[in-house]
Amino acid sequence: MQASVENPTADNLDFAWDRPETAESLHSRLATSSGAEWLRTAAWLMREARVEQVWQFLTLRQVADNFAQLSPMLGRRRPVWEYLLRSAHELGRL
Amino acid sequence: MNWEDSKACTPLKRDFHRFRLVRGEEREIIDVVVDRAPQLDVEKASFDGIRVDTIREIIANKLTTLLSRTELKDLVDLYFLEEAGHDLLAAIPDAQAKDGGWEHAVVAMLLDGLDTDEIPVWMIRRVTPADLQAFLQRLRLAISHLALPPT
Repeated sequence: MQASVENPTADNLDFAWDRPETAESLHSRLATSSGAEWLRTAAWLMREARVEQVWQFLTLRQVADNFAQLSPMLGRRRPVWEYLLRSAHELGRL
Repeated sequence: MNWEDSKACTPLKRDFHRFRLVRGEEREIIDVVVDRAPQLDVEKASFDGIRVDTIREIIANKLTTLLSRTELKDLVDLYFLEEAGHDLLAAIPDAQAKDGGWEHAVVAMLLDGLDTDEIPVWMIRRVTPADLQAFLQRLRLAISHLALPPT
């Protein structure tokens, strides 16, 4: 059974293939961590989840403000996020 | 008019068969493909015994090609579909039902790399590179907007 990101009490998040992680635990980790730990968690989320799933945990401003540090950890998803931030500027969202 | 099996062009595969349609000096390649993606409309119209996809199915299939091959010919088809009054953005969930990997951000990024300078020579209706470029930019930004979180 796949977990739903809409329901924080459901089982593991469907994109968390490499670790136990529910929506509730991920929200908590992002809210309570800072520095390198926050960056590692946010980058993992941006690397593994679909973009619309990411917005359930991070804001556009958080991604933009931390992108310089997040970028090296995004792997194959880096071009997608680079494009998205550029288009956010084009659309006046940043 | 007759059909020639064109095995010489393409190796025979279970889900794909290529024919050469011949009429006098004219030749046309016809690919017959088993489409294993989910069908949105199971009932199809039939014209002279040939089943044809519904417009909804055609639009959804066209949108999936933005991800699978990102070619100008598909953008041209979408341009004329929109010009005919069809809402392409409203059809995105249909495309996602056919291709689970269809993500707004990825498709918008791929559109960003598409070049509209060379219009295909076999066009049966006219469109200028400028019109196509304007459509591309409008479509790209509209899909990008959908990839961003709600304001």
